[in-house]
Amino acid sequence: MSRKSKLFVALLLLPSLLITLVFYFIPAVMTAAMSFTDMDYRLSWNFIGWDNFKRMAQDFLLPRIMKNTLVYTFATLALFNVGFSVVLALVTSFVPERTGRIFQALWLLPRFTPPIVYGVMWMWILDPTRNGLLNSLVVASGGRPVNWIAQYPMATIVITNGIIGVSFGMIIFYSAIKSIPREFIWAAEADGASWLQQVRHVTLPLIRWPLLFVTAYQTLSLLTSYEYILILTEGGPFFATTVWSLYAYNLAFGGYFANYEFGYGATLSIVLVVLGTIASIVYWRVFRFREMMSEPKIEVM
Amino acid sequence: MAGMSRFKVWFAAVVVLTLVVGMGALVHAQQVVTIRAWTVGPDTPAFYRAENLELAAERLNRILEAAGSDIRVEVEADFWTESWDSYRRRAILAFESGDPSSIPDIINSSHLDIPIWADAGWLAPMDPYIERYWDMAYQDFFPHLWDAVSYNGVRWGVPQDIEVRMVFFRKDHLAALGWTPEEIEDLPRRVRDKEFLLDDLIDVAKQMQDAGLVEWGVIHRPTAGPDFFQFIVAYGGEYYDPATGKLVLDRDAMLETLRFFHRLTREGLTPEGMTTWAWPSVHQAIAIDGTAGFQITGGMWNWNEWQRDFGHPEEDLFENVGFFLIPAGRPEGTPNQLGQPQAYMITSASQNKDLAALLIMLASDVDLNTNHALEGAKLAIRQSQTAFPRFAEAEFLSQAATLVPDQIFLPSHPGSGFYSTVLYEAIGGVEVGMLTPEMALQQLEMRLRQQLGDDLIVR
Repeated sequence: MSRKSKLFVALLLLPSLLITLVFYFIPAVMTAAMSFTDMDYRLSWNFIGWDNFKRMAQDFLLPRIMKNTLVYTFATLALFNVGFSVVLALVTSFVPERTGRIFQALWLLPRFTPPIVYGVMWMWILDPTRNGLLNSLVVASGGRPVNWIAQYPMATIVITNGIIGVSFGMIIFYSAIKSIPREFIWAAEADGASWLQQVRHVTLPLIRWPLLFVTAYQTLSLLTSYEYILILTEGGPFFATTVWSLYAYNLAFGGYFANYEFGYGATLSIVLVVLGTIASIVYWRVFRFREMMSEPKIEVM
Repeated sequence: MAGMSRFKVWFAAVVVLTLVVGMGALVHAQQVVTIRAWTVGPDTPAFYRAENLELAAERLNRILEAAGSDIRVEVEADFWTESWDSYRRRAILAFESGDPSSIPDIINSSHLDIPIWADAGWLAPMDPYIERYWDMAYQDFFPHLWDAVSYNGVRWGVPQDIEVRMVFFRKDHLAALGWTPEEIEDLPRRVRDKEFLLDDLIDVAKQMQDAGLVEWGVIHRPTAGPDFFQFIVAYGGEYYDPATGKLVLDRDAMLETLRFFHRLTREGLTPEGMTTWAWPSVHQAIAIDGTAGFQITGGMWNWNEWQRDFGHPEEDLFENVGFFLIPAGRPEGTPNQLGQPQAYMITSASQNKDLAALLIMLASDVDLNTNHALEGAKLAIRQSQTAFPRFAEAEFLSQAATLVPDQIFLPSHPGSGFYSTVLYEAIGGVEVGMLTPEMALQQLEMRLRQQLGDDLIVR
C-alpha cells in the first residue's frame, strides 16, 4: 500500500477512532482512576489505594448480586434473547411471508416503546392489587391478588427484559434463515427429512455464525443493562433483582437520598468492564470469530 | 443639485433621529433578569411551591417599577411531580456539571438534603439574607424550623413548609365493629396517652379483616421515606445522639420495629409485597374504597391528594377517615410523628443571589404561604399565619396541628439519607420473608457500620 493510500485509510478511520477515544477510552480510564478514590458528593479525587477492592471482598451483598447477575444474564439469554428468538425466526420464516411480517412487527413494538412507558405498562400489568391487569383476571376467576414481583422477582425481570430482547435475535436469525439457498431445503425434503429434522440438520448449522454473534453480543449487553429493572423493581425486594450494574448505579445515584458513593461504584463498574472483556475474549476464542471474519477459502459465486 | 442637497438634509435628519431614539432606548432599556427555580411536590397539591415564587416576582416587579428601577425579574419555576429520588438525581447531575446555565438559582427540597448539598459546596449560606430581612419577614418564623435548616451552625435555607405525619384509620369500619362515636372520637387521645399501643392496632386490624370489612388490615407507604424512624421512637429507641452529633443504631428498638413489620405480613394483615405497591393503590385502599383499615405512614398532605387527584369529597373524608399519632410500641416507647420541613435554598452557582433572596422573602408572605398550606395541606411556618383568617378557618389544618407537640425530626446529618434507605430495604426484606427480623438487624448493622464508620453509635 502506498504512503498516500495509508494516509487515506488513516483519515477514514480517524472519526471512529476519535469517537472511541472520547466516549469509551477516556471514560474507562477515568472510571479506573476513580475506582481508587473514595469520591463522594464532594467529588474530590482522594486516592485510597486498593481500599475499594478490599471493601468488595467484604461486601456481604456481592455474592447475592453476582448470583443475580448470572441468573438474569443467562436465563434471559437462553430463554429469550437466543432461545425464543430462534423459535420466532423459524416460525415466522415458515408461515406465509405476510403473516410472518405482521407477527414480527408486533414483537418489535416493545423495542420502539420508550423504556419508561414499557416499564410503567408492566407495572400496571403486574400491580399487586386487584387494579393490576393480571390480578383483575385472577380475581375475576375467584382467586386472591398475587404479588407477582414480590413472589417471583427474578422471573419478572427475566420475562420483561426477554420480551424486549427477543426481537433483536429474531430479525437477525430470520434474515439468516431466508438467505439459506432453497436447494438445501429441497434436497432435505427429497431425502424425506421432517421439518424438525430440517431445522436440526440444515437450518441451525447454517445459521451458526449469527447464533454465536447474537449470543456474544447479548451476553455483554445483558451484563451491563439495568434500566428496565430499575424502573420495575428498583432492584428489590431486598436485592432480589439487583444485578451488578444496577448495584453500581445505586451506589452512586440510588436510594431515597442518593448514596453518592462514586468511588466504590466506579470500582464495581471497572470489575464489570474486566468481566466483559474476559467474556469477549472467551467468546472470540471459543466461537472462533476470527474464522467467521476471515475471507472464504473458496469463492462460491 | 437642489434635489441632491434636499436628500442629504433628510438623510442627515433621519440618521440623527435614529441615533437620538436609539440612545434614549439604551438609557431606559429594562434589564430583565431571569431567575430559575426548581421545586418539587412530588404530591401534586404542593404546586404553590413554584407558583408562590412567580407571584413573588409580580410583587417584586411592582416594587421595582415604583422605585424607578430598570430591573425586572422573570421567574422560570419548575414543579417536579415524579418522585423524590428522580428529583434529587436531577439536582445532583446539574450541580455536578458545575455549569451555571444548568443549575437553578433557587432550589426547593427537604431540609435533610442540606448537610450533603452544603458540604458539597452547592448551596449559598442564607444567613446574610435572613439577617437582612429579619424584621421584615423572618422574625416570626417558628424557631424550631430554623434549627431544621441549620447545619454546622449556618442556616442554608428558608423554611417553606412543615407538616405532620400520622396513622390514618377508617372510622366507618370501627363503627361496624361496634365502636360508639364517642369511642372513635376518643381514640387519638388514647394513643397519645399510651392506652392504645401498636399491638392494639394489630388486634383491631385483625378484627376488621376477620369481619370481612377490609382486604388488608394495615398498609404503609410503598417507597422509602423517613416515616419508618417513627417506629424506632415508638419502641422507645433513638436514632441520633445530639451530644456527639452521631447517628445511633438502637439494636433493641430496631429489632422490635422489624418484628412489628414481620408480624404484620406473617399474620396476613399487610401484603408481603407492600414495597412493590404503587402509591395510588395505597390512597385508593385507605381513603377511597376503604379496603384497608389503617395506613400507618400517612402524611397530612395525603388529605388534599385524595380530594385533588381522586376527586374525593372532604365531607366523606371527615366522616370516614380519622388520624392519630404513631402509637407507642410498648409502655416505655413514645407516641410520635415525624415532620420533614421543606426549604427554599439559593445555589452557590447563582449569578443573582440578591434577587433570589428577595423572591424567597416575598414568597414567604403570610398570604402566599397560606395558599400553599391550604392547597397542599401543610401547617403554618410563621406565628402570624396562625391568626390569618383563611388559615385559621381551615378545619383539617387545625385538627392536624394538634399533633405538632409530639413532632420529631431526622437530624441534619449526611448519613440520614443512607440510614433511611437501608432501614426501608430491611423492612422490605422482612416483609417479603427473605430475612428474619434478626437477620435483617444484623445486615442493617453491617451496612450502617460499613457506610458510616465512626459516625455511628451502636447501642
